[in-house]
Amino acid sequence: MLRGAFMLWNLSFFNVERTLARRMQQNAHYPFQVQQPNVFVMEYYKDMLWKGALIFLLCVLGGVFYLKSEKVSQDYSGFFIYGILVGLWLLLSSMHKRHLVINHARGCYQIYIKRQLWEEGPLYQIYVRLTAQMDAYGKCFYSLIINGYGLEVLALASLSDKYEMEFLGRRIARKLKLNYFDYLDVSTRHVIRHRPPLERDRDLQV
Amino acid sequence: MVSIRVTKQLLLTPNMGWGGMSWKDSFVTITFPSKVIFTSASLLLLLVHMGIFGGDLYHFTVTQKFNLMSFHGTTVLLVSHVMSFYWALLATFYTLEANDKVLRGFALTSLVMNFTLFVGRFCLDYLTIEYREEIY
Repeated sequence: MLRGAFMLWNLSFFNVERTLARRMQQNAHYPFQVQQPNVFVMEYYKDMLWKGALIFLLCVLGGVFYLKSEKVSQDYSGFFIYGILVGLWLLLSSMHKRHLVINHARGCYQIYIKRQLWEEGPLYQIYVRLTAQMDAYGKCFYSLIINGYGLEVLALASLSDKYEMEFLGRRIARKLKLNYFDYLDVSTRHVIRHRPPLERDRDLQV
Repeated sequence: MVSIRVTKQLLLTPNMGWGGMSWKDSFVTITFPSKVIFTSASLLLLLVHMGIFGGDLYHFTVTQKFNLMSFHGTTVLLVSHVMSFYWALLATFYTLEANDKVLRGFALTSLVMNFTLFVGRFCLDYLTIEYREEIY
């Protein structure tokens, strides 16, 4: 069981929605922490960190074994070099801790990477959403994500076959006071709490 | 309780466009949007492939030292060509949705050049197939 900044690294393959519900019982504002009233903060490391480290280590080990092994006419060491480079890139690009702040007092969200302000925007640009992926038989698998303009996708629960996760998504959105969107673009189940300011009728003005 | 030391405090007004981000910030945190990553990665691979292609052409036509050509790395080279083309294609799809003309130009250039270079590599390998070392 991983906690703190590694909270989103938990791999769960079965009963995804039940795990999420249990988490939400422990912390009503999961995955955020309440810093002040109406200010929610979450600190996390991307899960690409351990994936990149794994790729890097595997390729280094494989490369060492390949160099020691007997040579054939084709030279395959390029694969290991590519793997090392890709792993190093993933490791470096997700090395820094991220802070996501939802600030209802000021009406904006902010993401800090390496304690530097990276992106900032009004609250109608960040949302909780249920996404669906369909398999070959037309069965849908649902994931619950938090996303927004300039943010990285945060998957709270992924690939569950139950649509009832929608309920958890609505609850998270209600606790965090964010917009909630259904997996369909046109749906009656969207919950809009923040909306962009109405455009003034510029065309009508002379 | 989580505490954050804010180094850069911006007072937001709507006419600032809500943003405080410039492209230089990418180099602080080594993170880019995925479309930029795919475009630059495919362009980088394109440069490497062009270098190898040029070397092969030089050794095939000018010096005619066929053992210096990249016959031993054909598998890796072809996989890398396909990967580069795939990344260029992904970058094109991403940038066609975004409204950025410069980036779209780069992505389309990368796509076309990658395709051309792949065709060139195929033709060169087909022409030089007689010059490969034979292994039984």
